Amino acid sequence: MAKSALEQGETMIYLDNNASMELYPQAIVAATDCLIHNANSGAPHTLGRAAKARLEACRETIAKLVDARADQVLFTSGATEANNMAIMGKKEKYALVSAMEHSSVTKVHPNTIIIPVNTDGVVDLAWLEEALKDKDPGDVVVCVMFASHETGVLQPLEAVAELTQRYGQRLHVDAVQGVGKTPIDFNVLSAQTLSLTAHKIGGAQGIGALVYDPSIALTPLVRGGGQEDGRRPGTPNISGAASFEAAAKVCIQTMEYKSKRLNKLRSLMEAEITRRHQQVHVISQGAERLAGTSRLLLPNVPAEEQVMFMDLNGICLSAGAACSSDATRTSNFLLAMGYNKNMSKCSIRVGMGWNTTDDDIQHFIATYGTMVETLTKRD
Amino acid sequence: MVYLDNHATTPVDPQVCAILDNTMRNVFGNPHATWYKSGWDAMDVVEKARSQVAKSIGVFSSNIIFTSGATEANNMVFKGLARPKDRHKILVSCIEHACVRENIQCMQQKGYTVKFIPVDSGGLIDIDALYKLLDENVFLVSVIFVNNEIGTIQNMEMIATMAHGVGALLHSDCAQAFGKVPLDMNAIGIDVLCLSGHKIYGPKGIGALAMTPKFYLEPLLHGGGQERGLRSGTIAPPLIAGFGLASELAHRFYQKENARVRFLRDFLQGALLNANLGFRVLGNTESRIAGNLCLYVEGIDAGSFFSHLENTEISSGSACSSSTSEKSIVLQAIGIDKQREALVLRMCVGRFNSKEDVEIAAKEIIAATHAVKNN
Repeated sequence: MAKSALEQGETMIYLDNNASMELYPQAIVAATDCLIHNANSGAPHTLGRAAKARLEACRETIAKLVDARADQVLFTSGATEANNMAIMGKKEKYALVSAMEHSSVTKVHPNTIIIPVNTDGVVDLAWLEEALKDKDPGDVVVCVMFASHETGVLQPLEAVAELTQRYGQRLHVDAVQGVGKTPIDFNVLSAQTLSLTAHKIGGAQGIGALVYDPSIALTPLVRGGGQEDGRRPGTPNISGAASFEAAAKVCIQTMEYKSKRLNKLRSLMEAEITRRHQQVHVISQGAERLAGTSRLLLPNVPAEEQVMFMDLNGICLSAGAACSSDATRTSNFLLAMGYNKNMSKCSIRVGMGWNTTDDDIQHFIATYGTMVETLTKRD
Repeated sequence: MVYLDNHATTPVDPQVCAILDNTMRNVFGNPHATWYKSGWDAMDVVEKARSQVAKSIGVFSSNIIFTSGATEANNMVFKGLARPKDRHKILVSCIEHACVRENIQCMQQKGYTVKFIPVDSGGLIDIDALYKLLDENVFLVSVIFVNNEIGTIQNMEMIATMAHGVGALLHSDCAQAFGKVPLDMNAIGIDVLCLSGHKIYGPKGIGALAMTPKFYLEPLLHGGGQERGLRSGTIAPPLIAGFGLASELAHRFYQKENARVRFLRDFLQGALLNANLGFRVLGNTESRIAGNLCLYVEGIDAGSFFSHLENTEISSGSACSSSTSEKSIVLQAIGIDKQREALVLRMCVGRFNSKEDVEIAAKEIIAATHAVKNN
């Protein structure tokens, strides 16, 4: 039996950066440095004060990443916690969430209503306006993400914000996938809350942030020692925050170049694959998308077979969100976008990262070709 | 710099630091992406650590839910409790940490009656009072195993037996107990307990909830359904690997460590008491953890005292509340009505303290006290 590429000792190509991004070396160094010089940021002595100062410096940088003020940034254990805090923070009657949202947004509010999307996965603004019209002001929290983790499609947030403001409702934006990859200005966005996480931008897992408008009095999710202004008690994870800061700094410096490069790589990859294999369909190709994220649909070949084939050939990628991507399940967002049940089971996501090279993509294109050969020409 | 504030947080053990660094470098996959190799690697790291944590408290891996720390774990317990039809009372000790105390209102809103269990002047649970409070209406008893200010170790076996006697469940905040006292969850009879990484020479931002199948909870965070649906959110393999190793080290070496730490603490205590400055030890000295030393003295202004300490890092109370300088609930409970001009020193000798450290600390504390007195 032929050995797989991995067993032959080839290096692995990681194209699942939408699930978790490889850490920047700077982020690792910053985290380790913080672990060595460690103290409780709530303690009154010199070391405690130094830890507090370190945490506040991290807060400044994260604020800068989204053009917010430092006092608008709360550290959390990640985006799931930030999303939960934002959605349940005011206990509105309804949550209107787009069909593209992550499960940490869709599964939180007991009265969740799905905002439909068009075939590109962009929210239906006319529907949203109709839905907002007959609700009393202050009864709804609207949740529309910045960019989809599944397809990279960007949402018309300016228009969404205008609508929510006009009807006196609150807007929460899950910006996990957009931040660090494209410029975000919290004030221009005019959302009341914004959630971020470090491990999607090259920082460590276990740390995230909620950026919020202080005029919104959010009820804390957990109670305790009064850290983070009483809004998020618990000893802050300083080493995590330091890695978040280091990654954010790299992102601020390299964002423009990186997104140009990844956009070019993606265009090249999509053009080459659709030229070679005409049956392959690129999802949301016509819409504005995040650099480096692509979803390829190969009709009649189940996604789990494609993912397995890729893994055996040394390429790590996935069919969708790591938390829900049980291979047998269909991708619900594709159904919402109008794909039929059969089609919605047949796509894989390519998530490029800061260290994805031209060679990686060439290798991926070649492997994809072999995969199409192998998996579509069977009896 | 001499660091004696090991109740607030502990320095990260170099071995733990190394495993965190190594995991960040080599295992960056999302542990929930189990269809490719780097995802499995990440999951392997998580499951190995889970079994390390589980073994160190004598339970199975399936009993452990990872959280962002003890605050979240304790909140999960109280916010996730469903109220049974036949029981409506919760008993909470009066010396709990803020993350338990602050949830009392939430329990009352759920329709529970909350009663406080008093402690004696040494900080030990008043067993007679507990006996009187316990009846068939009690659903949950919550007692902090080791107190975070005075280090008092409770007689948990006794409390567990009493609680179970009326069919109640026992919850314990074990953030300070873990790695300091024998903590076999089943042998003691604790039904649900909370742990924290950064109190056992591990990283911050990670902790765990350990529970027996008797206990049922609604999740606090909703989303991807990780941790068997009880705690959504991508879990952090590097932090978990660090926590796992820290647990194993704590479990394997705590007896040796306690002997060494106790010797240093006793030296420090002796030096400070022999200086005849009016220091008084707070908390039961027979039943407190090896490193703890909590001292009280009247007639000394805390602000000017701390300004005289140059190389010794200690605090006057819980790090969670010292920034707001509110009155300590624990001290009130043991009958210390803190005067305006009174000083409380909370110290905890830890794994990385040396004999020299405690000598320097003793000297500095004595000198600072003299300096304030002579002013």
